[in-house]
Amino acid sequence: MDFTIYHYLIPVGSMIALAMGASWISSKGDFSLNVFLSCLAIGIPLLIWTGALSVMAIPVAVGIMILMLFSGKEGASSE
Amino acid sequence: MSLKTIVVPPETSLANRQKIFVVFISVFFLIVIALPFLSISATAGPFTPYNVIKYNESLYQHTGAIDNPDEISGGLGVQLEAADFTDNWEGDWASEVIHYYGGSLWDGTTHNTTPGYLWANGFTDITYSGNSISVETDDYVLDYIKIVVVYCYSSAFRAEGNLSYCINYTEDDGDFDQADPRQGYNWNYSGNFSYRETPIEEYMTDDYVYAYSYDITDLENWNISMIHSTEFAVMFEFSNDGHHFWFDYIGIEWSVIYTGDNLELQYPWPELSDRLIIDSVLWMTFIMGVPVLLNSLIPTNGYIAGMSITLLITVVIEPSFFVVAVFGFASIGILMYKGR
Repeated sequence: MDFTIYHYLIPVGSMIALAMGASWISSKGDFSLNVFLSCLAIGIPLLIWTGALSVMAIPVAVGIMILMLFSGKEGASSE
Repeated sequence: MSLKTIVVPPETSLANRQKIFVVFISVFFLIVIALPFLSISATAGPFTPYNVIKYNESLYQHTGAIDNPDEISGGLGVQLEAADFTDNWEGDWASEVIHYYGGSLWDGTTHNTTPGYLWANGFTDITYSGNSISVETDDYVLDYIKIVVVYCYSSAFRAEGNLSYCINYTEDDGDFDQADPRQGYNWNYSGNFSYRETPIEEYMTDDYVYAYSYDITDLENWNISMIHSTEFAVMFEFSNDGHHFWFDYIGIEWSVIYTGDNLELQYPWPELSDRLIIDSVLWMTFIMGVPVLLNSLIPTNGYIAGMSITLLITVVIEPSFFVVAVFGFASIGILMYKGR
């Protein structure tokens, strides 16, 4: 069976692309940091659930949620 | 050249810092994803190409949840270091010298009529992976074990002979690495040895490389301890009087079916199949696509609503999704608390 980096780039890249798209849209052309982090915090357990990542990635998801809690004011929108 | 007004945005704006942070996170993820591949290249060095392919391929099948018994394969051989048959095939096997040195019954003037031999033991000294199945474990079934000899020759000339093995060689029988194995240690005739002389069968040829193996799986009640034991020895008797055989190694090739569920994981990433990737992307699209679409209608609030809906739907149709939903709702809660 092929074992290439593309196998990981596709699901993880999809997750990051969706996260960046959501964060961009939600703040009208700017990044919304917390939406971006929220997508990652949900996407990592989702990929674990489908089997694309192992449970070893759980601490990363927890770390991202902690980062959300202690990040500054949302403020992505510059309006 | 026309003059244009160049507007330089303030570099320390919050938006810019967030962009930098997002890029940083993305790069971080890419590096994390690349780590298993760096590990592979770091551990592939000591193995022969054969071992890398056979062993690592199977290894990564175990890094996910193990639902069914799977295969672990180990191929190993003893490289002969001092088999200078060209001068004296009864010579000093323990001397240093050269890999890939061959055997011939040609002594420079005449062809001997006495057969020549290769033999080896000490398979425990072969380091083929830190992830081998434990000798102590009972969670395996032997798939096959073969004794193997690999040699090359400068033409289509083939070695002829027999492959043999014994399972209870002991030091009391003498130094294993010297002189004629039959005459010195009664390989053939001693009752201490479970000697079997088996016909060889060719299973691989290249232009000038030949390999013979014989499947001895059914000839003993094998276990891993026997395979690793120094009392397990292999011999190849060749009877041709052709000039130079260039022996690569004589050894064993074996495979076990691992039936346990606690194989130690070296890498946190499982091996991904195309099917798994498709499933992942489909689920991702379903669960995250809807929030992204709603987000375009109502920024942030649409995302929160859409994600809540898809999490609820998914956890109803797939109860195993519950843990993911817990993460999702916690994330949404934080977003509602901090993200306004």
